[in-house]
Amino acid sequence: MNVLTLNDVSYTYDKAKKKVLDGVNAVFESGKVYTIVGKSGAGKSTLLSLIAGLDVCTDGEILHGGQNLAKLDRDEYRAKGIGVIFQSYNLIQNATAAENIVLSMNISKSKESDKKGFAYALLEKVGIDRETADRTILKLSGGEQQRVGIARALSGGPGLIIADEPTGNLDKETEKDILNILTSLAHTDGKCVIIVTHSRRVTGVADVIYGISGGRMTKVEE
Amino acid sequence: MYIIQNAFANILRNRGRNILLAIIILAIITTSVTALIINNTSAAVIEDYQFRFSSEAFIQLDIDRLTSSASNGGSAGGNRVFSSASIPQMDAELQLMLTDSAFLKESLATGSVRGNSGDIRAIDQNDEDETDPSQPQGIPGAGGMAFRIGGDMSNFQLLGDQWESFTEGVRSLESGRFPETDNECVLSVDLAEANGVEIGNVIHFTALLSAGLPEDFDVNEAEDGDVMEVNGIDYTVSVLNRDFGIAGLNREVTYELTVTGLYYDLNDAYENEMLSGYAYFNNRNEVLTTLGTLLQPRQSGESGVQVNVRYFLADPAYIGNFEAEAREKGLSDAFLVTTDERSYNTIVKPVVELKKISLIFMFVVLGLGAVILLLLTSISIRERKYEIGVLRAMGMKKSKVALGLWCEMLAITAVCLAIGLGAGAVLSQPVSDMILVSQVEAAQEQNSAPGGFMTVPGGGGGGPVRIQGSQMGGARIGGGFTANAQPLDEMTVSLDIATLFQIIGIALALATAAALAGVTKITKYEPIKILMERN
Repeated sequence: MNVLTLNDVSYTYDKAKKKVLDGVNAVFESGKVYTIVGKSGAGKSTLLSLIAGLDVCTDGEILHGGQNLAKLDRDEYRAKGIGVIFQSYNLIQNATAAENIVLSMNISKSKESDKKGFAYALLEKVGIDRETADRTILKLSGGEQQRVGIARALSGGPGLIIADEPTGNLDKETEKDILNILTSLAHTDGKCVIIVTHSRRVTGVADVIYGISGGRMTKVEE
Repeated sequence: MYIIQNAFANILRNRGRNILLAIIILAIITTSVTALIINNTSAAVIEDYQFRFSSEAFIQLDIDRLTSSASNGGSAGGNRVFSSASIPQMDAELQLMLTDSAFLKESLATGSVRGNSGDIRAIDQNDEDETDPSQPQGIPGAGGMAFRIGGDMSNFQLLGDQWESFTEGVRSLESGRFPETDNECVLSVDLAEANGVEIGNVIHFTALLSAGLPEDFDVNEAEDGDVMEVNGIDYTVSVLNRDFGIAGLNREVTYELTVTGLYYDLNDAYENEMLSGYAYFNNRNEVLTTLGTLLQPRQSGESGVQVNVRYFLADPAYIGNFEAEAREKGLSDAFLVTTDERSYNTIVKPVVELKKISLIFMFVVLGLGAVILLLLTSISIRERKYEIGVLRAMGMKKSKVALGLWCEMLAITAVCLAIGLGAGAVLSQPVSDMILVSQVEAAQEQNSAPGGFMTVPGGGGGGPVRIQGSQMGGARIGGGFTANAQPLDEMTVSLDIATLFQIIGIALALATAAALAGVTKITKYEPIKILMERN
């Protein structure tokens, strides 16, 4: 099922007047893992910001479920429509892992009656036990923080998950675990997972690989 | 709801930073509470005094005018003493006539007469000093001015309509009832027991009433005991000082009073130890009756019955109207109609200064405190920029981020408010006392000039002219100024509802301003920028 469509998406930074993305076209479907690869500065993270609703494209359109993101309430979209996993986790540092999840559920207006119980379950699913769940983020390792990041991305029940270099700061063992979780989300839970990376190991789990170069994105492999 | 929960959680999560904020807010609130309590109590005290002093109208001899005319006509050398003829008088009739003024809320007329009795003996009465009714008692027409202690002496005071001591609780009716009509009286239990007086007995009191000297009266041709007819009434001439030309015309009147009650007196027998033993000054010898009783035998223009009327204006703004009415009814230009501004200023000035100081102090603290608080909040928010970026990236709306920050600041402020109110309420009294003491000292230094007497140079380079401020002629006018007015040196401050709401308002404004300072700063950034900056 078509989850996200990019139609001639372009992006120009105000100051540089340089087109970072130039007429990008792509279709992302549910149940698949996509990776977007490219050199540093190629526009990977910019594309991810546009898809995440953190920024707006200067030309073209991004359709989520057939609706143009530019016309949607982007706060609402970020809260419910998409789950974002950041390379540097971006969690509330002095809150516990569980509190981060509950807060995210509150923001997405989750109907779950036992939010804390749901948060523990979600964290357990990504490999965080209850004791660890009650620790503040500052006391967790990078791998644990990334697992919390994944759990948070899932907390609003989105059909689309995007991850920006999710294993960039992790060791190989943890990277493998994280990738297993992400592929499982696509292949088992039917979510559309888009991973921005330049790691070969990550591209190895992808169903579809896109490459960005010179502001243009092309399908490298399927 | 989760915004509030998250705000409370954030307060604990960022406790170090919040404690610092709380200390600043607490200092501001405590200072503001202290200053506001002092300020508002001062304002209430000032307003109260303002109303009291401006609502009571005084008809007062124009001392400046009198001394000016005295200086112009003064004799060479020596002290010049005013005789009854030279001091303008306001007769009791006019005083009482003014009580009907439409501009008054109420008036209080009282009177007194010095008397003796052949029926009963006063407590501490000294037979050797007992007044011979045929002898004059002081300066005619200058009632209450010249008592010769131990010489010519009345033994009783007949008081007309002076019932304050009963309402104040220092006297109470032991038996019987208060006078309901004229010619009835109540006596002290001690006086009644000493003389075997019972309720229903009739007692006779004698008093001297005086007439003004006719213009053609020549003191050098008059002798003590001469009888002179004035307005159809016979008076006995009394020459007090031939050299100074002081003489009087007196006649004896008799009050026949029925005792209707006996009162118990909690007052000391003598208010002044120096006067102990003189029957006239013994409180137990006071005979309480109606003013109408005292005025009954009095003819128009006669002195001897001291009348004192206090006028309370319906509105302080009516002072001009009241004066116009008094002038129309015959009040001489020698009198001023005024409110007691001088006493008001003397009494209230330290409180006014205290109010000013507290207000200035509060504004300074609020101003400086607000600047420090805004800076501190601004720094604090900058530190939380990343957290806010994360919340925004998670989809939290700007308004909710702002609401969360405001809730945090409100919660901190609320805790500080509770502590600050307590601390301020405790601190305000000693702080108020401390400032008031210094202000009273300053005021007393300023007011160290003589109060009751006014001294001006006598004409012809002679000695000073001395005029006693508040008494004159046959009547004491309108209560007079509070000659011995002392600065208010005690003020009980307390936290009232109005102050409480003002403090809450200030606290709310502080919390909002502090939160706004941070929010406006942070919401300018898009979450992507905050996160990119961080990453």
